[in-house]
Amino acid sequence: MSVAVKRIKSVLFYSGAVALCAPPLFVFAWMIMTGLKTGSQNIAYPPEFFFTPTLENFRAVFQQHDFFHFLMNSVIIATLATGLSLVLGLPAAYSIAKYKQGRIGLIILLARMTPFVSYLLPWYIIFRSMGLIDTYTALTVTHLIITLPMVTWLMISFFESVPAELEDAAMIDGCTRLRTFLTIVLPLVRNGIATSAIMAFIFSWNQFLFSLILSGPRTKTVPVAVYNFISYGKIDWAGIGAAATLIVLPVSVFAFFVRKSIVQGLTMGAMKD
Amino acid sequence: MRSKSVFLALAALLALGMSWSDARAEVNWKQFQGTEIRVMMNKHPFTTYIEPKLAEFEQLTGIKVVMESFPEDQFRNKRTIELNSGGKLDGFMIMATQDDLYYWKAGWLLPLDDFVKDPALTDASWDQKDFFPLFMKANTIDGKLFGVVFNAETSLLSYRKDLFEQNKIKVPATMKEFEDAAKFFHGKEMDGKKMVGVTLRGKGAAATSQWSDFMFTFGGNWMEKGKSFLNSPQDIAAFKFYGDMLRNYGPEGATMLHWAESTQLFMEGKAAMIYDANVFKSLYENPKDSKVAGKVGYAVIPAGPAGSIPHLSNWSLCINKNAPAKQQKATWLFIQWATNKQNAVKALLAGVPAGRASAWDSPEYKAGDKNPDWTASVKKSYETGNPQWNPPVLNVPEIRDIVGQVIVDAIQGKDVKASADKAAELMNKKMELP
Amino acid sequence: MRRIAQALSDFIDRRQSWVFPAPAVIVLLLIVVFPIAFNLYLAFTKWTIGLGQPRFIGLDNFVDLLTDERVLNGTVVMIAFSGLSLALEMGLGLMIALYFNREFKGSEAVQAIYIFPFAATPVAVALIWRIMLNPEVGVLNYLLRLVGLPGSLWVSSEHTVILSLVMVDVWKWTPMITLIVLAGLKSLPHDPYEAARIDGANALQIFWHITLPMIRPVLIAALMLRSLDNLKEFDMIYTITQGGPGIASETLYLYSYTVGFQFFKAGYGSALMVVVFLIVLVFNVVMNRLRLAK
Repeated sequence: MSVAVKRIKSVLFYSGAVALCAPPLFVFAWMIMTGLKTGSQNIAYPPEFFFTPTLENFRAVFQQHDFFHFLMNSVIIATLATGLSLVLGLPAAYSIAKYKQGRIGLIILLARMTPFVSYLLPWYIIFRSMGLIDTYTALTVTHLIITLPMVTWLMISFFESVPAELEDAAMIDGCTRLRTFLTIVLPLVRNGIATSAIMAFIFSWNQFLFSLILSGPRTKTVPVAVYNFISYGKIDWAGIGAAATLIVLPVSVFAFFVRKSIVQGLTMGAMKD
Repeated sequence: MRSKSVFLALAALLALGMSWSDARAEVNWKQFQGTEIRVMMNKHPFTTYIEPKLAEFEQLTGIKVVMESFPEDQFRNKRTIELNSGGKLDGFMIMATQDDLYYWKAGWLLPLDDFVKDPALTDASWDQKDFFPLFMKANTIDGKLFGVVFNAETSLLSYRKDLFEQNKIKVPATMKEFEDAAKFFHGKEMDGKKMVGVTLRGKGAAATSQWSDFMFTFGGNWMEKGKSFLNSPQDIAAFKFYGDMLRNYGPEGATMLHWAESTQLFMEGKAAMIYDANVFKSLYENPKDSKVAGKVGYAVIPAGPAGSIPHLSNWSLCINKNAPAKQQKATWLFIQWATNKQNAVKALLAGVPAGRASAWDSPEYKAGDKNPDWTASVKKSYETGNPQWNPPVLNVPEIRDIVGQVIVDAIQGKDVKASADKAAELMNKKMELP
Repeated sequence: MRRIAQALSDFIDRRQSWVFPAPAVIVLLLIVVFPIAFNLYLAFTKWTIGLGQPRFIGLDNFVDLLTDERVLNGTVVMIAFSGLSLALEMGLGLMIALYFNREFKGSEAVQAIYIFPFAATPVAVALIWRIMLNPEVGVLNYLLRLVGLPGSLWVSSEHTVILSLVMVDVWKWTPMITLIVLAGLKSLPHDPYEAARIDGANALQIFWHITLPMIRPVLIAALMLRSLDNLKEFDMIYTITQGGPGIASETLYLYSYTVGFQFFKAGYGSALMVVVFLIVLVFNVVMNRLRLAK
C-alpha cells in the first residue's frame, strides 16, 4: 500500500471518529452549559457559547428542590430492584440455559412486552389497597418488570458458556446442585453478573412512568424530579440543565465500564440457536 | 353563638380600641393540632409563594402540611388517579370550569358551605363576601360551593411599552389595530434582534384557553341550542384571525408553542406582543429570567365585533370528599389560612391576581404596585370577561383536543371552514353533557 | 434441622429444572397478572375513571377503533417512526460496528464517548433536545444559519417532526445496536475470511457473502431487543412533542395514554393498549421465526 493511500485511509478513519464523537459530546456539553448559565442567558438568541459560568443552579437544585433526597431515593430503589432481580433472575437464567427452557424465557419476556401504561391504574389500585403507595416496596416491585427480564436474558448466555464438565466434576465430588451453583457456577460468570447488575441499575434509575404515578414526596425519584422545573407558564431551563447533568452523568459513566461485557451476554445467545 | 361572639367583639373593640377584624372572636386554630394533611398543588406562582410560608401555618395550628407540586399535565392525571383510587389526599388545587363538573359527578369535591357557616370552623375575618362573586359562582355547582379561589385568572395583551413608544404605535384597541401593530413589528430588526409581531399559544388543546377570548370577542360561543357552535361564522372568524396572526406575524413553528415557549420568546425580547395569562406578569417582570422586565405594558383584549371579552378562569383550593372528616376540617383551616386577606395581598404583590376585592384595594398593594396598567386592565377584565372558558361538557379535555385541532389547522393555513365543520361534527358526537 | 436442610437439598437436586426458575416466574406473574387481566376486562367495558362502574359493552370499543381517525393516524405514525428509526439504527449500528471492528489507535476512547447517550436518562436528555430543537432560539438552527443553511422547523412542523424524533432516537439508541453487533463480529470465526481472501474476493464481496450471513442472527436479536422499547417509545415523544404539532407525532401508544390518562376513558384506552400489545407481540414472533430460520 502506498504512503498516500495509507494517509487517506487514516484521515478517513479519524474523521469517522470525530463524526461519531461530535453528537454525544455536543448534547452533553450543551446540557452542562445549560446548567451553568443563568435563566436569561439560557433563552438568549444567538445562544451564548462563552459566558461566566455560575454554580447557582446546582446550589438551587439541592437547596430548593431537595434533590439530594431524590437522588438517594433513586439509589435505594435502583439498588433494591437490582439486588432482587439478581436473586430471582440468576437461578432462573441458569435453569433456562441448562435445561433449554425457552418457554420460561418467553414468559419472562412477556411481562416486558405489555404496554407499561396499562399497568398504571391497576397497580395504583392494588398498592393503594395494600397501603403501599409512596413506599420503596411498591416502586422496587414495579421496577422488577424491567430489571428482572433484563437480568435473566443477559445471564442466559453467560451460563451457557459454562462448561458442563466443571459442574459434573463438582457433583461427583459430592456437591449438591445448589452448592455447585453457588460456589462453582456463579464465580465463573461474575463478569456477566456485574454487567447485568449495572444494566439493571441503569434502567431502573431511568424509569419515569411508574415512578410518576406510584411515588410520593417520600419516594420521588430523579427522573420525576427533573419535571419539577416545568411550572405554570415557564420552564426553568437552567435548573433542568443542572438536574439533568446530575442525573445523567452517573449512569453514563457506568455504561462506560460495562460496554464490553454487556454485549457478550446479548450476542452469544443469539449466535447459538 | 354568633350574636354572642359579635357582642364580645364589640365589647372588646370598645374596651381596647382595637380594629374590628382583629377583635372578632377567632376560631380555635389549634383544634386539630397534630394532624397531618396532604395537599397536591400545580406548579403555580401561588404554590411558589405559599410553600415557604407553611411553617407559619404549622405554628398557628399545629397541623403539618405535606405539600406536593407537579407540572400541570402530571398534576392532573396524578390527582385523578389518586382521587379515584382512594389515595391519601386531603386537599388539592383545581381549575374550575375545567375539571369541576367531572370531579363533582365523580363525587370527589366536598361542598364547603357547612364549614363556611360554622363559626367554630370559619374565622369571621375570612369574610366570604370579600371574594369576587363571579369567581365564587364559578366555584359553585348545584348551589354548593366546592372551592375557594386564590388566583383569578384572565388573559391580557402584554406589549413592549418601550418599542411602542419609540415607534409611535398606538396600543391596540381593536382587532384591526392589533393586526396592524403585529404587522409593523414583524420581521423588523430591533435591539439587534429580528422581532416577531406577536406570540400566542399555538399548541392545539393548550391554545384553546386563549383562543376562547377571541371566540367571545368575535361573538362566538362553544355551543348554541345544545349543538356545537364551532363551525358558526363567528367561531370560524375567530379561528381564522387567531391562525392568521400566528402564521403571518408569529414565531416559526407556532403549532408547537405552549405557554413556556411563548413566554420565553417574549421574555427574550424577540416578540413585540404576547396575549396570555395575567399571572404571567410575574414572569415578564422578573429581571432574573426576563430581559423585558420594566418594559412591558398591559391592556385588555382588543375589541372585536362583540366588544372586548376575555375569558375568566381561576385556580381554587378544594377538599377531597372521601377524606376522613377530621382531615377535611384540618384542610379547611389550611384553605382558610392560605386564602386569608394577608396572603391574598402578599401573593398579589408577588404577581398572583387575587380573588379578593380587599387585596386589590389595600393601601399595601397600591403602594407596591409597579404596574398600574396591569392592575387596571385586570380589574376591567373581571367586569367584562366570560367565565365559560371551556365547553360546558363533562369531557372537557377530549373536546379541547377537538377545538385545538382546528387552531392547529388555522395556523397552518388549511381550510378553516372544512376543519371547523369536521370538529363540530366530532364534538356533537363526543360531548357528554352533565 | 439438619434433616430438613438435607431434604430440601435433595428436593432441589431432583427438581432443579423448576425450583430454580419458579421464584422469578411467580414474582413476575404476581406483579403482572392482575394488571393484564384488569386491562383486558376494561377493554370490553365503557368506563370513565371515577364515573360509576365499568359497564360491559362487548366488542364496541374495538368497533369504535376502526372508525377512529386518531387510531389510523397513530398506526401510521408508529409505523413511520419505528420503521425509520429501527432501520437507521440497524444500518448505522452495523456500519459503526464494522468501523470499530478494525482496531485503531484511540478506538477505546472514541467508543467510550460514542456510547455515552445509551445510558442517559431519557426524560432528562429529551428535555435538553427540546431546548436545542426550538426553531426560533434553539442552538441547532443557530448553527445551521451560521454555516449559511436555512434553519429547520424540527419538531414544530408536521412535515419534519417524525424525522426529528427519529434523529433523537437514533442518537440515543444506535450505540446499543453497535455494541451488540460489535461483539458479534468479534466472535466470528476466521477461516471463511482467509478462504475468501485466497479466492481473491474484495471487501464488499466478503461483507456481503460472509460477514452478513454469519452476523444475521445477531442483527435480528438486536432488532428484537430494540423494537421491544421502540414500538412503545414514550418518555422521549411525551417529553419533546406530546404528540404534536396537532397529532402529527402521536403514536398509537401515546394515543392510548392520552385517552386513558388525559381523557380518563379507561375502557377505550385499555382497548387501545391491547392493540399495541398485539402489534409488539406479532412483531416479535415474526422476528423470532426469522432469527431461527436458515
